Amino acid sequence: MIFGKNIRFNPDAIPGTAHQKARDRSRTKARFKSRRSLPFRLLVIASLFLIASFSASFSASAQTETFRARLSPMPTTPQTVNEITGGGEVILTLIGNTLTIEGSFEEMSSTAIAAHVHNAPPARLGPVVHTLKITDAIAGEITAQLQLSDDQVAELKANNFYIQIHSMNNPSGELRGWVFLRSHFQ
Amino acid sequence: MMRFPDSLKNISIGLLMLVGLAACSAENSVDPTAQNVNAADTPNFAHQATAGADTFASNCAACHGANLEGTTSGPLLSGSSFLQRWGSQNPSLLLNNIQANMPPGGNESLRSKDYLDITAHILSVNGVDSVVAALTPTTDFTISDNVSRITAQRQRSEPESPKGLTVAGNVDNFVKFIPVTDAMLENPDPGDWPMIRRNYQAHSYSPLDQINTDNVGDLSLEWVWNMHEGDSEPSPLVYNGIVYLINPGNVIQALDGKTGELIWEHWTGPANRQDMRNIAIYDDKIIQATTDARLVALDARTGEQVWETVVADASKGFSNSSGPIVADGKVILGLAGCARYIPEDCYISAHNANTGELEWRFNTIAKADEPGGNTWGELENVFRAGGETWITGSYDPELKLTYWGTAQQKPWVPVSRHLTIFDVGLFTNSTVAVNTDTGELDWHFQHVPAEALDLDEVFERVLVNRGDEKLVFSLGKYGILWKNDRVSGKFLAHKETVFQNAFTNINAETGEVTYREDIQNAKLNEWTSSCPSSTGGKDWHSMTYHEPTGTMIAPLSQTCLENAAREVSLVQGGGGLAASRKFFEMPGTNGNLGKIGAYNVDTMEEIWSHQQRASFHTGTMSTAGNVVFVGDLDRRFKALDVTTGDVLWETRLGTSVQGHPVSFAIDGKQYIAVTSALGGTSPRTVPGVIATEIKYPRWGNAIYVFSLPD
Repeated sequence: MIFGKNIRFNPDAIPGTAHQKARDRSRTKARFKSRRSLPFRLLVIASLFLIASFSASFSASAQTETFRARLSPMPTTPQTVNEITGGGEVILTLIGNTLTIEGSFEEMSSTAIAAHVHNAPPARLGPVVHTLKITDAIAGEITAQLQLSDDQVAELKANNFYIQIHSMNNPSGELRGWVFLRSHFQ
Repeated sequence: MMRFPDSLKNISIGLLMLVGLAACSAENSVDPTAQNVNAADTPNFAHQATAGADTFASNCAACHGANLEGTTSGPLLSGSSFLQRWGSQNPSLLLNNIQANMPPGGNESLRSKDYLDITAHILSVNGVDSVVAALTPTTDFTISDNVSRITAQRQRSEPESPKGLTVAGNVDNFVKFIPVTDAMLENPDPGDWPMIRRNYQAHSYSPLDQINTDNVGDLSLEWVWNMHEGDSEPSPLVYNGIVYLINPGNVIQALDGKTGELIWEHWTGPANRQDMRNIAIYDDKIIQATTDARLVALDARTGEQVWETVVADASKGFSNSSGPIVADGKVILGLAGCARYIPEDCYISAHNANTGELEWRFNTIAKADEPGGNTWGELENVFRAGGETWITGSYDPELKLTYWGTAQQKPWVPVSRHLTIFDVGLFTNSTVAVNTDTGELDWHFQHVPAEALDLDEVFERVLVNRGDEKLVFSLGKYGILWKNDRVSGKFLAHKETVFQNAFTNINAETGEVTYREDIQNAKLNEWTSSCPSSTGGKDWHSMTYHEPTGTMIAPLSQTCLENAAREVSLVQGGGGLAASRKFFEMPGTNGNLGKIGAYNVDTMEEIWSHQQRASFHTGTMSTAGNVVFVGDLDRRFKALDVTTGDVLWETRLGTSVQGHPVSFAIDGKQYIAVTSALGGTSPRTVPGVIATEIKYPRWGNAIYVFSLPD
């Protein structure tokens, strides 16, 4: 992970990722999971290719855009810091109006019970606009393939989507992360 | 947990220490010794205290300690220090303050009964054991009158802390002491660091260039000195090769800058774990503010006390966490602990440097019949609170103006203070330019009127000349770098240095800010989500101005909060901060809490930034060698290239690097000094709940001095 990267003349870009062991473990797990779910990923890639080809027949201008959400604990306090835990990463691929979501999470305090895409600007709260599939465990994967409206595509590109995971101990939410263009983090 | 989340040290050294006039009516008063209570059937004080022990353990002990002994996250609530502040008060007032302010993360899980139990537990631990009747919200007896003799004897048996000179010595035995003049302070010797941020203009810049971008990688440790434990955010003062070091608990040491040899040590008291950011030197005196709001002068040669004066009444909650600046022969300092509803308000005061005698005061809270007095709605004077000046100001010797930032109104949210977003509350959250001769206000600029989220604009004012322009820069918790004309106060420009979503607009011509509608109209117990959090943006860690490149380099922080106002009754002696807060990572930062941002002072554009997971806990200090130094929570002390932000060198210290780096020279050799330290209020609390994977020892205050190999 990039640690302490410098940026020149580009104040809006946000560099690097964290360097801590916990996140390293998270990445290691994510890579391991990636190997275990290779058939699934191949299927997704094939689907994306087909979708892309299909979309291309209608719109030669359809492009692939990749977004990312870093999942981190919901607002916490010294009282709750050991009860709202975990982290994760979600990659979102947009082709036309089709949004493919793949992600992983780990080290939550209790079993995940739901995951949603919400609509609100960064650090604001907003309504659920889509429901995602999620592993019912304290660590696992998040997946979905969504058809977005044109308005929703605009909201996605305006950083007005966030992903939230709810758990048994924290039904109102345990992990959350706003969706930005992946290049924003590079 | 009863964590003191923010600038409480700066605002009041703990709201639980808040004191004032109780307003309970005679009808409501309770004589604790006059009631016959069947202990088996009716809850009494002992029952409450027993239950309160459990409630305290699960909600408060993590910050205040299982035995109320205090931790780096929260002040102690027991012993002579507690009784000193609370002994003359009543349980009702104590209860009200706990209920309004603790725990800061939210009180949804605590009932009124729980608060009564916690209050009883605290009183019981402090020796209130002659009370039978259960506490009620209106219990009115003098706490110290109900501390048993046994407890009092036990407290007397506690070992007394040292007082006065504990190590005798004389600077003259190391180097001939030369009295410090006004001219020396106006134009410090390149080898000296004779005040916080080194010069009157608050540049935190050293003209020394022996250590530069080419050789900084060769820096090595010259000496290290362990400091007293406790909260600490110090700025060492260096004059003529002698390091004068403020320790926690109001202890000052003089050290030989070349060898680290202790020359003298003075315990001014009170002996506690509270910190003080800086001291001053003038003539032949070291001048310190104390955590109990006194001003004391020591002989710079020997450490012996020369004079002492009271700045404000500590028994009413007043305190200091930053020391003075000596300008135009006057000792000028601010005041903290102004959050309670008492007739006295906050002020900046000037004192004679030879005697300590008061010369003038400037009140930061406008009373009803004073200019600006109509900006507090219909609020009576006694309920106008806040406006602390908890960071040392700067000074323009030509204009004879001293520049200070002021903190926000208290309580934190308009609805809690019985005001609206239109009651801007002069002269809070402003820059004030005060005439050093008279103490009169020359101009003010209110950066964030009617502040609503605990985001002060109180920090250092950096004075910059660009051509004919005389400028003043400031950067508050909203993370906005402000540029004003320092002659007139006129707003000139601004730059958002971190993501903020509290304002929907900042007028480019006037600097006027417009709060989001939901923040404007926030109701009691209604959660509002916004960025940055109450740890800033920027906090107490000073930014540096690198004059050769016209660059302002600031230590910044990237977190957000959810905030909910609590109810505060308009009762004399009450008041406080009154909000619950939760913290989370700032979206889009990839979890990087720490940011160093470099800004061109002409264009206000960001030149570079250096971002990392660990938050920064020192000010930035730049040098003529084009190096900027900064330290972080993860024990790293770093040197960056001023023009590129590239990391040129780093080392790891014993615990978190915290304070204000300085540079000095002795016999032609340049040194870099920095402190490792604990405490530091919300800049430490907030990373503590977000970046939990960062580990560091909970002890290890020290000063480290580096140099190039000979």
